[in-house]
Amino acid sequence: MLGKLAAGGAEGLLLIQDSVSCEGRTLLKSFAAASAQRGECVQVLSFDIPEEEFKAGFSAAAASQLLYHDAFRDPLGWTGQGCGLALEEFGTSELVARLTATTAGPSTVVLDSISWLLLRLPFPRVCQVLAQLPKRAKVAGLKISRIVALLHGDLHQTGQLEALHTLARVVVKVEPAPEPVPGGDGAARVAVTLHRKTGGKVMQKKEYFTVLPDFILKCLGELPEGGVSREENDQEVPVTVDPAANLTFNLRLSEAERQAKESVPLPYQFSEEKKSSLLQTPANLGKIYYEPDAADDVDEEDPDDDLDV
Amino acid sequence: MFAQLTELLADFVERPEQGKLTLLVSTKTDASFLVHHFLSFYLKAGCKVCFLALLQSFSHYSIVAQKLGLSLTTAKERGQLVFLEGLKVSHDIFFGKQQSLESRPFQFISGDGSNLKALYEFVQTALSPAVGGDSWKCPVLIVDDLSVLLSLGARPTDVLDFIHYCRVTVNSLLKGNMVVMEHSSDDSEDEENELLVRALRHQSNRILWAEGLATGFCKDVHGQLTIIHRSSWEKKAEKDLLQVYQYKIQDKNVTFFARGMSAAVL
Amino acid sequence: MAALATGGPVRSEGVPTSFQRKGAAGGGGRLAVLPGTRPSLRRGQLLLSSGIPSLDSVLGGGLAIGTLLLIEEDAYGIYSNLLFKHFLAEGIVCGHNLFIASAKEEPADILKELPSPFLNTVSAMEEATAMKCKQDSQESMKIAWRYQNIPKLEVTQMTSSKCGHYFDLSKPLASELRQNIGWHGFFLPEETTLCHDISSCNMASGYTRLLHSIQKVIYQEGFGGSTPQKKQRNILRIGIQNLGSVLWDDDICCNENPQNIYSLTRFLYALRGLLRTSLSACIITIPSHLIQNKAIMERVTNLSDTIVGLESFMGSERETNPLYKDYHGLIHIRQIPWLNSLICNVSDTKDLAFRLKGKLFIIERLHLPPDLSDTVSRTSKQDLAESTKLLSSGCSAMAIGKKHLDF
Repeated sequence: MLGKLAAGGAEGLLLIQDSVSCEGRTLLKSFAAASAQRGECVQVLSFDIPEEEFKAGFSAAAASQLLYHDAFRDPLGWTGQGCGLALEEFGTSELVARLTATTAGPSTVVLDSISWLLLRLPFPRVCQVLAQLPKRAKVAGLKISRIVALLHGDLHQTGQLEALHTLARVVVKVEPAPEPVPGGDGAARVAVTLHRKTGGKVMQKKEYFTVLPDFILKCLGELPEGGVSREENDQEVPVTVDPAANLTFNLRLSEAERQAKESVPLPYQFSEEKKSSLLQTPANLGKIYYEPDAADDVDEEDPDDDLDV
Repeated sequence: MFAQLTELLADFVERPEQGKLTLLVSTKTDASFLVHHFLSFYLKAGCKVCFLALLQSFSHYSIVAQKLGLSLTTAKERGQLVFLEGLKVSHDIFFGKQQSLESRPFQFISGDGSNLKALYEFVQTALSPAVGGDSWKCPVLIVDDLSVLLSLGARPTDVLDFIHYCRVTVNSLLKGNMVVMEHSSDDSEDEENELLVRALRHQSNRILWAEGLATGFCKDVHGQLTIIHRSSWEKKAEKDLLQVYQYKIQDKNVTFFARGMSAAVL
Repeated sequence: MAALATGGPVRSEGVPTSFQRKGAAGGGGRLAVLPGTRPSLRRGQLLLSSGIPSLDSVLGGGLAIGTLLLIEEDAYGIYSNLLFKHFLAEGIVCGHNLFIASAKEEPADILKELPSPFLNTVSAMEEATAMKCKQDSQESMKIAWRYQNIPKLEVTQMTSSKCGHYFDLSKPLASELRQNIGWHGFFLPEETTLCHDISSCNMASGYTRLLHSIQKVIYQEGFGGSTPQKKQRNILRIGIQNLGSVLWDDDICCNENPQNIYSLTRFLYALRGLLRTSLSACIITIPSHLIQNKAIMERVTNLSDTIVGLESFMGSERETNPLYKDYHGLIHIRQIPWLNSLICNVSDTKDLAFRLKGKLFIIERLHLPPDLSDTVSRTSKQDLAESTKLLSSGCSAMAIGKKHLDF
């Protein structure tokens, strides 16, 4: 599913959520590379890392399709050089003006990262810009097919994360793989993808993936249901332990001993008639059922055995 | 510098790496030996160092550096070391009647709502190459430690902006290095500080995490150091490289060994 | 760190420096050792006594000049007050100057209640050992009678220098001793003057006034080294009682989200700057158990040098615990500064307890009694296990994982 999404299977807002234990920038770049390969224009708004670092690793063809808006160098205007994208330019109209100035074809907007903006701008404003950008751009003549954004999940509160998830069409959470996966070169990760389709269906999948040189995405297969791999299942079956082994005395029974054991009447083993009477619905009067055992000697004439007879 | 640590980090005094942000995190222990290591390492490597000492005085670092074979005073006089002593500069803000030029970097302490731009400008002036050209190698910024800025009233976003601009100038423009010290712990209730640590972890290339032993105090093993080399996302997805060592601090050196290999145990 | 002027050139920082470093060259005209201090040769520092010799030995010899000793108060503030008074009394005996600040009590009253020293330290030692021997001699040993007279518990090593004194809590300090001392008091309710051109830096007004008062004393009396002192150089002992409480106009003790969370931390930072550049040492008692916002306590911890936490058994269920019957409370050394050196002088013992035996305040290593019960009952084992769990916390350790082995 991840491969299809990278190949342009969804439109709208795609969120890639990573954490300190597992970075998501390579996946973001693979989406950008796939977009570039399809011939789309890729507009990059980069806040977190410098231009050389972002462009490193892209093939020459892909790199030529990237239109880079550098917001790393001076977003707050402290150096006074006024180059690149500034923080106050993050508004719907300003962004539309900036994006349409460079191109008119179908574009993918890559945002690295939303977390940078959320820490400095009011939360509702960022959400509104993300929601309205495609529509306003269309009015201005630019078709933005999707916005792919990187989100650092551990820098925000859960409430904000969930609000962003409801805005997005696809949310991909990147996690480290629990154990090595064949074919992954040790760098495989797990992607938990949630896709809200236009028809109203929601699909969720957990897959292994890795990113190859030139940022080509390679899916390595799904995780089984419940997220537990087959190997783990085997380990969960408890090894049966034989309690009669390794003792200094003998706990085992031979066949004859076993049969003798099973034929011993248990103290509370009742006869058939007593059982059936007990199983019947009880009558109004309580009845007492007495079964004499071997040692009993009831004399009808002298039940209490105290007459000198 | 501690020769063993230099080896473990695969650093070379002759040609130090460039453009890297190293994060030093200490959990419930004193990891200032890491700061002393990097300070002496970069001075010996011939780099120009800007040191923001926010918590301790100059003589503290100077005395330890002498034990490691360096003289900070000489480095200052040569122009190799630019030392900002936070305690002294803030003294002017707290007690000075008018704000002097030297105290501008710490203007935010006065609570007038200003951000850390002045501090960034100090760093920029300190590390930008001099007009006639410098003989020093790449510039280095060392901050000890960043959590103090929060205690003094800076907002977390202000501190993040400061680090962002330092990265722009020092890492990307001047191709220098940054070393930032932070305190953190799993059960910390200081949310702002933890946010700062996590945000820096996303941005750093290398993390050195020093923590006390989980089983308690030990005389022969002072703590555990985890070195995380974050995968460079330049070529393809790679796993973060993780190394764990234990260490013992002595008077002039720190010895590192694999877990369980302390000299006292063997 | 603190510094005095040498015969050599004044350094460019503006504050002339001189250090009691052993064998420092070019030190012609070195000034005499300051009264009541002891040099720590390993780190080139001068150490002061905190007033309790057993605490000094746990802290690595004493309190360094220029550092801050933070006492986290116990629940009722009784024992922290005793530590506070010991510190000041030690200053009087050594001839130091005092600066006493409080928002609760008049400094003059505090001064009157300081304990008086045992004039003969040997007699104090005998007193301490005598008390222990009294307990020991109650049972005579039947088989191991040769070991009868050896004391059971080791007495903590006596620092054999003239700056450790024992204090008798039953007797107040003689007024003649008090009169010879130069001291300054700061009582918040009576401090109304605040120069209007002093910037408050957004601190609670109580802290601002205290800070300026301390700075004025340091500057005018020459502790900072900028103006030369007329008489011999002396040390200023600063004692601040109950900082952070509501009486200081700060609401961190009553509000989870206080109005200004930076007040106390800014004050401590400014105080650190003052201490490091002057010949002074400071003791602060802080009611940390009342501070709701734990983040503030973490920041305060980072800004202090030595931190000692007191936990008294008064009123808690541990009072009746047979484990602790000899003691009045536990002492936790939470932090020791690693100044001027890579390592710090951490003492081996982490389980320390204190007790008040009539006249003396003693800190000892806590020994667990052997489990001599006939039937190893579950309850007694659990008590011991609980206590051992609490005992192993140290200043550079996290003793949270009991089952986890590091190697």
